[in-house]
Amino acid sequence: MLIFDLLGPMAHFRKYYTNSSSLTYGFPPRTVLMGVVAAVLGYERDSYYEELDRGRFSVVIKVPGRRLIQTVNYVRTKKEDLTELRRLGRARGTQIPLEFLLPARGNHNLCFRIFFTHPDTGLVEEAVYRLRENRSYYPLYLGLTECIARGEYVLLAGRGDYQVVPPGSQVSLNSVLNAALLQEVLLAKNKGACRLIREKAPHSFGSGRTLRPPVSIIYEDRGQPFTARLHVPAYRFLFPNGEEETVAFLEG
Amino acid sequence: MLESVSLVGRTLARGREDTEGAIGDLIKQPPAKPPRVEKIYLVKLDFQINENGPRLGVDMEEIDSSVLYRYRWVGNRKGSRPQLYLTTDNLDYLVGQALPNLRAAMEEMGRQDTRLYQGLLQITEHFFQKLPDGSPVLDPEKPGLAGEDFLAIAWEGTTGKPRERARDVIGKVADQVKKFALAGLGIKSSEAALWTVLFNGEPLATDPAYAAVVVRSREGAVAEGGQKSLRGICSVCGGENRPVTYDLSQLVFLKYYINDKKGFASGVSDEGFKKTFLVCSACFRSLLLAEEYIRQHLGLRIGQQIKFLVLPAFLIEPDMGREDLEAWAGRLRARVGTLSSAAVWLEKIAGRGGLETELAYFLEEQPQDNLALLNFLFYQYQENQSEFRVLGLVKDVAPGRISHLLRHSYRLAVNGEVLLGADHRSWWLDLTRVYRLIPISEGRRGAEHKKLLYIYEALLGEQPVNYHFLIRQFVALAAIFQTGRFAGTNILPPQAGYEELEMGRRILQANLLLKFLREENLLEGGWPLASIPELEGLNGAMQDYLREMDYNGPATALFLLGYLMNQVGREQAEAGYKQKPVLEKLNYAGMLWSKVLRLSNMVFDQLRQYDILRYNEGLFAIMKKLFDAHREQWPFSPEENVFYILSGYAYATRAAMKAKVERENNADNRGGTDQ
Repeated sequence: MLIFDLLGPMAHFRKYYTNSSSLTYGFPPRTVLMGVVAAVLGYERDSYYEELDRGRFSVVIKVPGRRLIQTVNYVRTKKEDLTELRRLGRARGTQIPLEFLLPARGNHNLCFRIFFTHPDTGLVEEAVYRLRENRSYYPLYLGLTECIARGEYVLLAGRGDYQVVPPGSQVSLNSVLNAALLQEVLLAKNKGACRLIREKAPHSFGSGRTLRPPVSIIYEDRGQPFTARLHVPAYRFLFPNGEEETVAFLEG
Repeated sequence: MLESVSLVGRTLARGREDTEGAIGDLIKQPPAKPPRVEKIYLVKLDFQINENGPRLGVDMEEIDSSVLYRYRWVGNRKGSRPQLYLTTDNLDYLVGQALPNLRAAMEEMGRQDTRLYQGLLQITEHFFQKLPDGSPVLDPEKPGLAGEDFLAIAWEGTTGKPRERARDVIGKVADQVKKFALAGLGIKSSEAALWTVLFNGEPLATDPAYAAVVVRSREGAVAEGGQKSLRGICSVCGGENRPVTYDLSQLVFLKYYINDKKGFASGVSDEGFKKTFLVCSACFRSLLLAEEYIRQHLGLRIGQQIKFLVLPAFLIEPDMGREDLEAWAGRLRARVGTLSSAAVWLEKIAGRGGLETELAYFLEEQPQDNLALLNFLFYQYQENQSEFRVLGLVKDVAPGRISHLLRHSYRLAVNGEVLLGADHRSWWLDLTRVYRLIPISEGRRGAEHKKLLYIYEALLGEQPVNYHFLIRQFVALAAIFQTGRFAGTNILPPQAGYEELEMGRRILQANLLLKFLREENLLEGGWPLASIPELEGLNGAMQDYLREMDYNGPATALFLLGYLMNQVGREQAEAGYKQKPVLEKLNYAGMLWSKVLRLSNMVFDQLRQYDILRYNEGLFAIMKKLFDAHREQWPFSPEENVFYILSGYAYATRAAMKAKVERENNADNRGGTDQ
């Protein structure tokens, strides 16, 4: 299982149902994670959906984000503008409020820890090699090409590097969670600062980049762990620096 | 956000899947009453055909909710969509395109067998004509409302493109019909709020077939076989292989997804919209219901321009019926409404039991409180363009946070009353009060909202606010009062002669807001709370105020300087100055420490000059001592210097007023005892 950090100064992971005011998720959804791995490995756009959908992903918010709405000027592309645009004439603008995710005060970068595993071990090894060497095939970014990012290899975890927490056990979860896998949130076990958010987010693409059914995701806005019971196993990792993280894969 | 909106919609739609239920949910609020109008009416245009030929009768009914429902008031269609509703607030539509369009829509639906269609057929054939550009229009000559060739003459009298000319002619016809109807009914134009159509005395809007057309016109895009309908996966509920649409143009309010600009589509092609966000009929209907409901029941406003919605989100979906949702939403709105403006709530409960008891009852926890989290969505909406813009989103505010803020604000108001005199309305901090403390530019194009949302986000979302930012805003606020430049801002000009009093009140409110934020642990970058200075020699009330506001030595020194300036100002007013010259010595752009020192020397001279030094010598000495103690390392910025001087000035104004009220009360009491 490949574990790496995705870092960048700003992000925009557009909620799929907003474009006139583009709002962002607080974490990279699964489709973004697939895109990041595809960029590391050098898959062409639209060519990897089926292959990477076989993989399993999990994401931990390591640095909490704060949100900032900035109005940006896009080129207006209404029907009546198209003739002018084709003539390379003067394009009109349209103003769109765009919500960016920035690192919380005191941090220079956003940081998401990605856990990735795939039945094709060769593919995982290739990704490990590329991230270790800092040789991602395409440049990485956090949602928008303007939000440039970098990947930092953390660990190639084998069976001895994690413990499996059986379903139904109480876990202090660090990762975002697919709500369908949740048995119970143990609110009383969470500290006052815990702010759980539920969002509909994309899960995978079908052929021709059509959106497959979205899933509900639960996550803690400030990157704090939250206590819950799950229908599926969770995985507890102990990192060489002594850090411990418990994650659940988005696919269960 | 999508989850919460669709949950509201789904809850509302439960058990109301039939057309009657669907139309019931689309009924709109009555149009607003114009000023000085007591009653508004629905005017009925009765198209009659008998042996004498076509005739137009008129009747009216006072508007109430049953009238709105019976005549299916669902608003007009937005933008450039063809109008086809029978009840409208725009008579131009009824004498123009609405009836022919409705007839065509019914033909498309194959409903020619209905009473409604037959009525429309008769009306359009006997009363309507076509203008040279092909636009249909009521011919007022036919029912005898106008002389011969009215339409031809009207057309000749217009200029411009054919479409514009047609619009002008339709306007003239509408004027003619309106004149006839108002004269017949004996009402004024402002009282005729809505118009509807009758055929031979029978209202056409009450026909069940009409409800079906209206519902289809709103939800039609998703109907199987429609031009913009396809089979696919619903992006809201995730349901697969069902009729879905990408055309969301029927949503008029909560419209944060647009598909009229190719640049937003995957692959920059119209086909791309089919790949990103598709909605099935059940979800589409729930979105339609939710947008109307949320706007009416969960929407609030601060001032004229800052609008927001309170969207409940549930981590685990509760089993809530329509009634539960309505009751809970009503209570929630009242509570959040009080946080946005406490004045309305205070007015409502005036004269009832103790305020504290009322508040406790009002904040009593509701069954859904534990399950819900509230999203505050600040937005800008341009009705004409159906343009919905998100300005800010404060996510996941627990209902308990609202109660906490209200309680804290109440405690502070009580405290303020003790320190500054009875005036609950002034000292109760709410979102509107904060809005009046932060100067922002406001105009027809909207408000410059960012500064304000920064503070709201902090209060609701428990994030820190920068102290220096606030101080800059408060000094800018004082400058507006001093210079009288209220135009183009959100600061209301006070009554003439009350400028200084009002400015003082705001500065004291600003002090309370700082205290509020400090107590909430939300103030970032403020001065470290140094030990409270020795206040001996000051009167008790002033000592209480300074301690309560946590003033440190330098702030106290500036406060005293402001207080002394007020004493000088009073003498200047008595000497006949309209504008107190002493206030002009303040530079609202900020004052350096050296300037403050110079000002203190000037105040000393003035105290002597007006012969009031002997009353203020003690205060001046304490001020001087505090200045001297910190002169080597003066900790304040130029803006802070001005703010704390103004605070002292404001306090002195308020203290004088409080003393006057107390003197009057004492005199009244003595008078009562004597009797």
